[in-house]
Amino acid sequence: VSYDPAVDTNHGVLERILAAVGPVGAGISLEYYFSAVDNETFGCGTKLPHNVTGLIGVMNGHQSDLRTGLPLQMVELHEPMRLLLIVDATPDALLAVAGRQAEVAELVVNAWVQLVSVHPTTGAMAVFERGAFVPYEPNPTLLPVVDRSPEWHMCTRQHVTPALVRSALPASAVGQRQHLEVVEAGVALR
Amino acid sequence: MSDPVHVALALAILAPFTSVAVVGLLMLLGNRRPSEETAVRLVTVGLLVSVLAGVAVLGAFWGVARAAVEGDIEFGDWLRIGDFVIPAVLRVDGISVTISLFASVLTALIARFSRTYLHKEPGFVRFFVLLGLFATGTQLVALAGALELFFAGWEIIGISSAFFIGFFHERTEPVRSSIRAFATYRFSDAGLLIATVATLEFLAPRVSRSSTRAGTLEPFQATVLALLFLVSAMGKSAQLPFSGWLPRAMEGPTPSSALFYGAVSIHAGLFLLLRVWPVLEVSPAARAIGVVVGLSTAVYAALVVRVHTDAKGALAHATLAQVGLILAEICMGWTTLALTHLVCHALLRLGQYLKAPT
Repeated sequence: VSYDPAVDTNHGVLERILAAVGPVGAGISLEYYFSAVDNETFGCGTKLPHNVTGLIGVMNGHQSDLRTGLPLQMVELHEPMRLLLIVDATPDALLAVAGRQAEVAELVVNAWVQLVSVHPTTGAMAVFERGAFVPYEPNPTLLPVVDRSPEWHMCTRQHVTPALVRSALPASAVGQRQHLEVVEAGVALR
Repeated sequence: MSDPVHVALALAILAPFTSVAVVGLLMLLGNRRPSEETAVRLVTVGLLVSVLAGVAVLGAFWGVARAAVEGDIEFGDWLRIGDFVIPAVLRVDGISVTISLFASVLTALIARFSRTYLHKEPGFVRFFVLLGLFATGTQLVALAGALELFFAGWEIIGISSAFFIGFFHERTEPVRSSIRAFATYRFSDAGLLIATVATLEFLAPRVSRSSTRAGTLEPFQATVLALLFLVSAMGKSAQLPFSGWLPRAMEGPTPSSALFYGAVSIHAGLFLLLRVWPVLEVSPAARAIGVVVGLSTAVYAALVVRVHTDAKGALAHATLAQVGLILAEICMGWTTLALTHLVCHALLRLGQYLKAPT
């Protein structure tokens, strides 16, 4: 969502955006999470016997409770992730807004979403952890590099760790020989 | 047996059965389940061979490249006890060729659709085994030239249908629905079984021969036979008062629901009546009852559709309404119209069922 902190002096715009984006984004992420935790109870099980009912939901076959959540086939495909909100605003501005918006505060304080503040002038990042913003310390790790994404996910049906896909990047971003040793390390890892 | 028509007819039935037997043996004897790919390949090959054999039979029926073939094709005896003989005889005529090719093409299409639709489903291999079994049953029913063979295919369709409804056997509701359908089938299939035995008493055992000799039946005998066939057809095609199992049958996976209750299995009862039409023809009483049953089912189902809230249940009743109309058409003697109506209706419903979940 585009947002310019320079014109938003009283954080009114920030407040409206966070109140909308936070719960909606968190809702989607949590739907995936809970559907993955217990697919039969919180999700709606396999989609095979689903029967669209009254244009409001699905049930199993000809009579059952309306099913909640996501089907098994969606959870297998997408890994549940905690929502990461990166906001172009100072930690103080974010704390002020979160204090007024109870829904956002609940999500952030109870760590259902991760909130990161990027300082509009300095560019310093701070991440909200255990009740306060702490400066973000990057912990650079070299990613395994593959030429095409199938090389990375074809061998397994599990969710996979991040990898750099060379074909997805412009040639200038990935040097010809830059990550060669990492490729070997990655292969050894697998 | 070296005659190409014999080979094609045998392949149409035996190819899906062979692939099912191979996959089934792999499941039973192998130390781990066959992979999705193995099951799909084997069953698809069986189904495709069946389709090609159907095309070859159609070619023979039309007289492509040689004299046209029509009538009974003998394969020797299935059973012989003294003078009592059950012949293994298949039949080539307009109705059997249409239904055979039609059913095999639809089954192959559903197999292709299910390959991605059921990907990673725990019952994937089981689904394809049942699909191949169903293909065997439909080919046997479509091509049978004697009531005994017809009955065998009819039962294979019934049993695979019950297994598909109870596909998710870890839940109680599908199993309950499956038993309901199975019980209805058992009750109405008794009609076909009794009719088969009665035909042996009244006539020579073949459908075809009965067609030439139906005129020699006493009116009473014809009416009894026709009513027994009608009961059997009503059960399979879910006509009143047997309609209850059809909406419950939607517990199974979507592709099998489409194939069974939209396209092929639901029309099997109508096909039976087309097959034994000569007997029906000489029994006005049975035909009158058939018209009443068909029309009342059509009215009942059309009314239910208006108020049904779930997609598959509404489709089930919409299917019933049309099937009731076709039953009435057959009983009024419009068999060609009925066959056309049947094929068009099956194609439409197949697509509608497949699209129902989205």
